[in-house]
Amino acid sequence: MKRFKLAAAWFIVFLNAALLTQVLFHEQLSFPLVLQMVGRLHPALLHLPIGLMLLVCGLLIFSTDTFRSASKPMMELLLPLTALLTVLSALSGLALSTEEGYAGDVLFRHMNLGTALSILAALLYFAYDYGKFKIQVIKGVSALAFVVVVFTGHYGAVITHGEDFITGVLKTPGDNSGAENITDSTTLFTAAVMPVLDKKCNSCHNPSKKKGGLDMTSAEKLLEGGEDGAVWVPGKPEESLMLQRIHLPADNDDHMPPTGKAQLTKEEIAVLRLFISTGADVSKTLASVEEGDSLRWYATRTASTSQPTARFSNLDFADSKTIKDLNTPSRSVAQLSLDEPALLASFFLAARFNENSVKELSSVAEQMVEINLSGMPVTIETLKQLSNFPNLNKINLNKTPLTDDMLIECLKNTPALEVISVASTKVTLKGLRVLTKRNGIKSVYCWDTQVKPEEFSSLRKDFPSIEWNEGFRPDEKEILRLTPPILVNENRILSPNETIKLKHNLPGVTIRYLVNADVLPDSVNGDVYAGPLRVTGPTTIRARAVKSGWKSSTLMEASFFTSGVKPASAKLLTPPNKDYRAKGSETLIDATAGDQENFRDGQWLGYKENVLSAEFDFGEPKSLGTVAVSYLKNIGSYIMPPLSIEIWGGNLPGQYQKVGSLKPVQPLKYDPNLTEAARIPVNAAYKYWKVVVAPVSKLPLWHGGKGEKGWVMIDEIFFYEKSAEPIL
Amino acid sequence: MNEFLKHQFNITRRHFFGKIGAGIGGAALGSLLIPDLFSGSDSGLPLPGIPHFAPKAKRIIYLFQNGAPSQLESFDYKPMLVQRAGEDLPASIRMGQRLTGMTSGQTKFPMVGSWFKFNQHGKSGAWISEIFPHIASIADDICIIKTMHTEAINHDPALTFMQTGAQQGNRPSMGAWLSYGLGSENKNLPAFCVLLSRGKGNGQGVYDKLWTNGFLDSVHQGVKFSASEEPVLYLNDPQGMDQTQRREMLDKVAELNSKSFEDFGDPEIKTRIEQYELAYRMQTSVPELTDLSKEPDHIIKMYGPECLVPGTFAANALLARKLSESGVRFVQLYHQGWDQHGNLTGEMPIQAMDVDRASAALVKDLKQRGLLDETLVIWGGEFGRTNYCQGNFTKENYGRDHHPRCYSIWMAGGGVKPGIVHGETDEFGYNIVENPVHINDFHATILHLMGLDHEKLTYKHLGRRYRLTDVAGKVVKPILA
Repeated sequence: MKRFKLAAAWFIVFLNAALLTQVLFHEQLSFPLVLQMVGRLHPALLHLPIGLMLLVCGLLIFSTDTFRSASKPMMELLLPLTALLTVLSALSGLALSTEEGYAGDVLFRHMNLGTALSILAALLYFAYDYGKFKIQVIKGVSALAFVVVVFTGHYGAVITHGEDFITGVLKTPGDNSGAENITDSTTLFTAAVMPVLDKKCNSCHNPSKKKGGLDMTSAEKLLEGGEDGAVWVPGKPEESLMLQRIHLPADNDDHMPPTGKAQLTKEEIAVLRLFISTGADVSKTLASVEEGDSLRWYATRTASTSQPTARFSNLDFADSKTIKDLNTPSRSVAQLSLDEPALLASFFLAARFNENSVKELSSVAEQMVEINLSGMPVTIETLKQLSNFPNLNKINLNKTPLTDDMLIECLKNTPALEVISVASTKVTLKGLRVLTKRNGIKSVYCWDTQVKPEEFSSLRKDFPSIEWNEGFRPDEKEILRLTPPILVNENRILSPNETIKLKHNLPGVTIRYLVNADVLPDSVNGDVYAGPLRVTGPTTIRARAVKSGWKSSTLMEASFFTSGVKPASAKLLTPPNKDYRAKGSETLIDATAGDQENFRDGQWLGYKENVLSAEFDFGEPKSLGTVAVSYLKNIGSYIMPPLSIEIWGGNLPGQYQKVGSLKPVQPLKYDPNLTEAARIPVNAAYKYWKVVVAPVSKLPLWHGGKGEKGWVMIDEIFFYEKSAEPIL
Repeated sequence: MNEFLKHQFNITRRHFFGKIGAGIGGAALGSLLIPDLFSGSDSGLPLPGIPHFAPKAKRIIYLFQNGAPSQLESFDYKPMLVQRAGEDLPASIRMGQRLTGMTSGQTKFPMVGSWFKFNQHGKSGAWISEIFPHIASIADDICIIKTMHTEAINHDPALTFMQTGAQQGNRPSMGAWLSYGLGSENKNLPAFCVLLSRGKGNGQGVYDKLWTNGFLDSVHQGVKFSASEEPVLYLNDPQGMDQTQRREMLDKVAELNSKSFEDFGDPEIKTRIEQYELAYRMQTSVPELTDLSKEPDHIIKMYGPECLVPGTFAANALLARKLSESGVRFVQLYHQGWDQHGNLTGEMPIQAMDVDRASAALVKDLKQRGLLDETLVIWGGEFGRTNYCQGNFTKENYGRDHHPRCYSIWMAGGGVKPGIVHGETDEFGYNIVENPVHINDFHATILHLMGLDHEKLTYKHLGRRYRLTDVAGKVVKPILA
């Protein structure tokens, strides 16, 4: 013990002597490079002597005589230990201070106080150990050491964390001095330049850190310059050190701001450049320049746009090349914003996803705050990798093969997680319960999971601070109407062997249909559609979709025509309306259907003033069974079914006999647009056939244009032989 | 890169490749990997695709109601118009407002109130008409802006203004600006998709110029999906050609195109190479999105059974959700049929029925997937409708003409304050009395929510810098969450 004490005492004396020499003669002496490594230990060491010193001094100051004698052996151990650690801390601090970027008043004070403290600690030890001093003296030295510890520690903290580290929490976020309360008497420097410096430079160039001997926190300090001289040359941006440094390539050691720190935007550089090129006058006010001045505009705009507060701004920036390399067609990695280093990652294309997809992000693990794995085939291994992301705040695991066990794995090492989406997964109440056992979770999106409604109410009751999003559940009582069957055919004029196809996209739907029937299909009546329908002649099909638990659909109706006998020629005996002449008489026999939704498409012959009367020449007497007229119903556009259709026949031009007629059913309300087929049985043989179609003379009373003349629009007339009568 | 340097760079490169005739593949590869390498990008962004500040919304789904739905039958409740129906609109209220050709001949402007009942919904007590029961059910999730106003009085200029920030054509539309400013999130899909549907009401045209890239690079143009069973046509490989052959063909074509680009320097050639690549990747990414057969029952019940009928608004809303979920920046829907000059009482409920359930479902669906926070949903038309009827006043029916001075839209999610009503119109429903929101303000706000400063997102064209908001626009701060 005695030998230890002796050795410790000599050691303390020696080290303090070294410390004092170094502090007093550091201008002349250079610090051995190897010892600089010791400097990096300063932050690790320094807290030990602070604690010990406060403890020892406290005990000495406030102890009674009895306590002192009882605690003597302990003090004899504590005191040399304190003195030793103090001198080691001081020495390592001194080593650290030789590194670049430490300068300024605060550092000077911290250094001197630290040295003083080390000597005080040594004195205290020797004074106590030799026992020849009055207790009052020891108490006095203790009190002094106590005060010195507090101040040394404080200055040290200022160097590391900045001036107003503790009171900083009281400030409102987004607060940037200088940008507020801009008036005409504010200087351009304060209003335009200072915000840029505050944002991008002053975290290092401040009175406490003073990297490169430069303090950029005020105009006066800035004008003093740094180790390398003046910051700018008024009027000469090219010769100004500040701009030169900014414009150096990013990999140059002298480039400012250094790699890893937020870089200046083009606009910010432009502001600095403009300020220097216009004379760098720090006393020029806003009022002294004209209204449209760029710096003035920038200053007022900077003050008026409060930008959203950065949540993750305390991270280092990931290298932009690294980010770029991580982007592939199946993975996107993006920086949150220009000023914020946080990164977001999303994955696409499930087939390309593998174990490495997430693992490869480990180079930017620190910056990763959001990961979207929606729809990816994640495994427990994938989720284990999430523990590499200490700042992961939000994760989307929707539509993944996630189970409770996997969810638990994912939660093990993600301390910063606040928002998690597990919609459309197999997660159960058990998995969600685990979420409640940890702090920080704010929102859970758990729609379409195995969790039951009543389980949600209990979760909500037990953990009201978490937002549980259980999502939409269909109302069992609400019965929705099915959509009508979809007609697959695009053309209403069927080519030979073409079939009529229907479909419905909802699984389990039955389609019931009727062809050329006067009654309508419903949930029990009508044929069940089982496949494409082969038809001949003019065919009107009506169909409905039916499924239990749903209301039957509205009616789907469509008319089809197969090509019949084509007349040798056609002739219009009455002229159509001049706006709807289409292709004249050819329109009626060109086997091209008009667009049901567009009566202006040049396929519809329109009549309003006249009755349509057309003559068809078959070259020789032709025996026909049916004539079919394809007409449009578009009630909103005054296009009604014809009032009447008459078919006449004769073997000499101009000499006809009426062989058939039909009055189509008129609508009773605004029905949807539809092409309908009028089928008129004729059963006769003639060379010439005449078709007369009359428009309605007066629109019905319920119609918006009641009393006005209606339109008739015809796109095609078909002639069928008797054998081609509609069959199924 | 400044234009002078760019020019020099171009000449040197052309000479270089012209002489050695090799390394073209390398250059092509370079331009594919770094899309902005050769482009005339001048976005004010030091790195392409990074927002100016942290965005609230990552994606937008814009449910555009084409033709201008009446605010007076939807979100702007004016009981006084019912009481004073048939009375002439006082000239002191109209204040010489420019009229369209359809009502400029009218000597009287008889006011008419909503035929449909209004009720209060949600915590804010927002008044919503009975023909929008599902939208009413999400009142707590949406922010209704009653004081949108525009300068145009006819559909085409108003639509163009709404989409591009200018009444005349040729400017890039909103989606193109976002694609330019933020790039695409999912490289396998276009950044800007357009889906069309048509209701039964009186319709107005939707033109391809509404999703134009304008003077921006044509990679930013909106990709219009077909309203059919196959939303993107010709995605299948031709018969007898497999993926490897396809890939080889594209590589060769890209090589030839790159050579052509080196010779002529036309950026459109580079765009073409990129579009081929995108189309190739869409062969895998699109089929799984447009496959309707795997939709579960609860999704069909939520959006309504129409969502299984391609080309309907509901099907587009569902597809929009899937595209957005897969990282498409901007999905723009257009639903036609909202131009009720006449028969408003007949057409408007039918139009509302087409969109009501699916619009609300989209918001709910995004919310339950945790995506509403990062997706901005916008619902509305290009202008409002007059508080007086077009033609004579009758008791049976009425119609309303175009009205630019106020109209209502709503937004949800993506950093917008939920459950609020912003702005107020006078009791005639004709003028704004509080918190007007101009189209430029609307655009500035949308860009802001996407993390872009509307004054910084610029593109230099014909010697000046252009913005979506041109020289105006203020972010509407009260609606930000």
